[in-house]
Amino acid sequence: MSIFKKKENVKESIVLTRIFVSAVFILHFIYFAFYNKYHLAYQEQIQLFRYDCEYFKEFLLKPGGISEYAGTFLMQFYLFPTIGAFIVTFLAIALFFLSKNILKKSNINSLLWHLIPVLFVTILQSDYVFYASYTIGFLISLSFYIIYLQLNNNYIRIIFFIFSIIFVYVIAGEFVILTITLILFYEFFNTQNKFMFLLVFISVALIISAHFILKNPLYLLPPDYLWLKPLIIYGNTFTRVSMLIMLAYFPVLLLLGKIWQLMFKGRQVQILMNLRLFITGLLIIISCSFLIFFYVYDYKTELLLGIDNNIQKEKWENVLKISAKAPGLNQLAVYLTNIALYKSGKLGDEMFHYNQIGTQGLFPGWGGEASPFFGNEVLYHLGYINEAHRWAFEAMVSKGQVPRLLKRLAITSIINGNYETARKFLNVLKKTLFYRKWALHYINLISNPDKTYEDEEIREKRHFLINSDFFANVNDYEGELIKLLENHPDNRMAFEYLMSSYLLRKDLLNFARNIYRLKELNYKEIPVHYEEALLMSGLTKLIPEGYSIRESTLQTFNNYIITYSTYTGTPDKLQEILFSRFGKTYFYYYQFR
Amino acid sequence: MKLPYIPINSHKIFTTCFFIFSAFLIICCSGNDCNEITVNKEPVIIPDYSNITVPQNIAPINFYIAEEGKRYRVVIKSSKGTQIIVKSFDNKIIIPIGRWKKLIKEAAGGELIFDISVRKNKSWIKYKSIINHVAAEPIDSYVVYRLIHPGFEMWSRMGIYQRCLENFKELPVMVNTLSQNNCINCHSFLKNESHTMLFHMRGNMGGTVIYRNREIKKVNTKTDEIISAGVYPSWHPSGRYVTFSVNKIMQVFHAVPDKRIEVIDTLSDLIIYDTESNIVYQCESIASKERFETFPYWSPDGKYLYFCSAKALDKSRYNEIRYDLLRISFNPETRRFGNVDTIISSSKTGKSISFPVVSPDGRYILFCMSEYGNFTIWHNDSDLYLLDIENNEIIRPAINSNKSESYHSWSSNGRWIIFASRRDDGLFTRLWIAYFSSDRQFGKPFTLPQKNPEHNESFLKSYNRPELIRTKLDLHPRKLFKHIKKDPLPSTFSLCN
Repeated sequence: MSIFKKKENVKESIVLTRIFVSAVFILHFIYFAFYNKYHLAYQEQIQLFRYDCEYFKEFLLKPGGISEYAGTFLMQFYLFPTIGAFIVTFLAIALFFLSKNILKKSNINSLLWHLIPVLFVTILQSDYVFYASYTIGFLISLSFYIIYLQLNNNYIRIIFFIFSIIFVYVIAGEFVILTITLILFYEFFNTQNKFMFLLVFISVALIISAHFILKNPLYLLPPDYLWLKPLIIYGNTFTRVSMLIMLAYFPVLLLLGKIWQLMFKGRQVQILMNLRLFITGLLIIISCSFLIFFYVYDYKTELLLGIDNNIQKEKWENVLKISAKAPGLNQLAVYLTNIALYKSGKLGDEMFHYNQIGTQGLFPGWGGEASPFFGNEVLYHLGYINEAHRWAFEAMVSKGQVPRLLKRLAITSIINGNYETARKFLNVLKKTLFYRKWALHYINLISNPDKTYEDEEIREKRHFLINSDFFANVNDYEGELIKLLENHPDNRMAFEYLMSSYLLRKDLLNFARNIYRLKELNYKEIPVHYEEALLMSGLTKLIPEGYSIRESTLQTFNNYIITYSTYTGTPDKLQEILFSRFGKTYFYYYQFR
Repeated sequence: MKLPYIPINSHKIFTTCFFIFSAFLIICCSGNDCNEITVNKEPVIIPDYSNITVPQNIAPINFYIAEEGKRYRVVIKSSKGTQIIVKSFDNKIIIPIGRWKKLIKEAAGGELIFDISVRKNKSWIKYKSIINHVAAEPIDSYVVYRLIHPGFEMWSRMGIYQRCLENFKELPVMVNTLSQNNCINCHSFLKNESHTMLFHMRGNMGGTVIYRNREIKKVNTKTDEIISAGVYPSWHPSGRYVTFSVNKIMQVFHAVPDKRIEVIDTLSDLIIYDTESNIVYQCESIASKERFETFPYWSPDGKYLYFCSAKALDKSRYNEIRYDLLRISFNPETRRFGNVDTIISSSKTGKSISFPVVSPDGRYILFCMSEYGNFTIWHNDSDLYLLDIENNEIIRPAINSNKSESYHSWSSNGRWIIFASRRDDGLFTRLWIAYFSSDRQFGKPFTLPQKNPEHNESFLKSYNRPELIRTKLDLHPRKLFKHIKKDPLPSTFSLCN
């Protein structure tokens, strides 16, 4: 082959490689921007980056705190998922270039090997428990290894080695193990360094001494947290396995590379990219994408987080749209959907259009760390401010100072007239980039308490403040709803939740006994499911004056009875037929759920 | 372009003029006389460190000036003439610690004057001087407290810390990140001394950690015969015995805006724990079934045990439970209790007493009083009261606020108290220090100085159970970790003779 031809091939190869790599990262971006946007948005919701020294100091109290700090800094931008997707992709690109650099130095030149870490970081990032700080930890660890490779002088290498162990441990935490392993592998396989044993000795001694020295003044953490944090990541099996693979990938590949070289006497494998390889590579990437999409991508969680995200933004119709995509996702989804149904005025008419799982779909109950985090939502909308505040506070204690909880704590404090307490939470939010404006608005408001009445939300919630005291009872929500109604008979949400609770428990007697409240609450007509329940109960005489059951509901009820009578003899078919025709009615729920 | 030639003499003249002009500007604009407007009001400073009495060994009382301005200047001077000038472009006044220590020592027994000026609209506004007093008597050098979110049922990170009051150094004594995030509480010292102390751990790794004679041990004070493991402790002055309350506690949560939590004892007794024999003693006189006994506190001579006691009522009548202050004599040799005296009866005051703490000279008892119940930290009406034992006079000192004042501690010389108060915002307790003069007068309380004067404004943890100690506590989480991992030593039970 002529030199000219060879040059042309190299040029073509470079172009094709660039196109190929670009395609990979465009796909990566699309995956996160469109399919994981709620994952990223949720990650933003469980951190709060603050611009003050005391916040920074908190990160110095644990190994790897600096990379966690950097990760949290980046995660604040996930508030805008497209920017979040850019950040995630940028980190993946950085990982690609680092792995390319490392592997090239070990004569592993195939693009595929360079891209595998990106594949695994994509898998990891698909789980919402995997934060940017982990990727940054990897990047720091690999960067130090690359810097080490640039050093030629043995003495400088040893000094750098010692320095990097301490430094990487402080800034990237346990990822230092990766740096040490890579350096030792490199020394063992690639150099005849007489200091090798010294190096091994120093590294082991440093690890042990760092453990005993650093843990005392700095890191008051249990030993497993000090050294095994990346391995004790929570999340699904894919996440945990991928994390292990990521940690082992480079050392194992360097080992295999060395074996390859020994077997083939140092022969490099330089494969130039051509159209055939390009297409093959593309097919591999498409296959990987499908694998990720079908096995790793957590669609259900994405929907759930989408529901949560829209609840936070009070986009009730969006919640219902997402919920319709995955009926009965889980208790949390049902619970949030019911809030959206009420807020959009559809609870009494459409709650059985969505999956219902009993009263736990109205209240998440007290249990586990997640329940107060999400559970304060319904209490707040019900106007049960003390409980909303308590649950939000408990959630803050367990989950940390995160935006939604601080906002809730501030607002509930303002509603209760505890302005100075509110100011504390607002002062924290004031130190952030994206919640500062919100915080300043309310700080301004509480500086002149009369102004707080100008805020519609505060005014509305204040109207429902409880005058007649009672004690919270997380095991008796109906009792609490009744007390809310006793305090404020015009608390429409408390009424609808109480009625929904009766419906879900099939307690039609209490349901019918409370139907008189429709008039008190100025309902224009009886909600459809209430009509259905009244027809089922036969207590239509309790319908308050001026209200009547719609003709359409009566017709549906008649059809239901006819269908029921028709298929009574075939019980298997009965439920199926009734579900297909009346699955969205209370008639069906009452009889079959 | 060519620069114009300046002869050397002109250059010198120019330079001299420049320096004279600059010096004039500096003197004029930073001096006291140029464009200075004097106003006859004190500036608002936060925290409020005006008209207070501070100990001669306190850390710099950094503050910020809540007055609008472009520049700030504070001259702090003693009556002997020494002064510190602090200038700032923002409103934060951070006093240099070295010079502060010198100044405050010099001012001991006298006044410390703060002259505050704020540059506004091209003039300096000089406010009326703030005059503070420096007491000759020092405060104990350390305070030990727990930092915890003032949560309801849950907790995550908490820890017991010691803070040097002479500077801003805060060191952990024990943090629960090392002990599986368990609950750590009720640290208690023997007579302001750091060499004898205890604290409890609940849940994982549970037990009472006792540090005594430079030894650490973890014990389980719960036996089958008593209600619970030890809760509120008080060291007998001999250092051998500790009296604990044993309580069955429940929490309920209010629905109305002005109330949060009720913490109610449904059962409550006192026990004596012998740290040498590891025996828990229970005596009928302090463990009656008809009454709730709690909050023990020993008199400095060890001859009397003060405690709170209320008629045992059902939890539904929680707001009728009012505690009396009682006293029972004790013979440490025989471990025998004598007769019970009622020191303050709730039927007379109509209020409920909690947390009695006897002054080191044994003459005074500082306690909390509120409408009902005993867990006064959640009661806005809880105030501190002083009982003069010599003449049985009860004083409500002017150190209280309209929010909860609760846990308090005397300094070893009896001239200072430190207490927890929610006066700032009604939720997050902060520590307040007040001087107590020999003529029974309290000085205006001031909040624990912080390096960053804005620290308290966004710090979402409470300072809980402050205990003053004279010297640094020689305990560190890692040192404790070795011992807390072990199973606690079980106690044995015995009835008093």
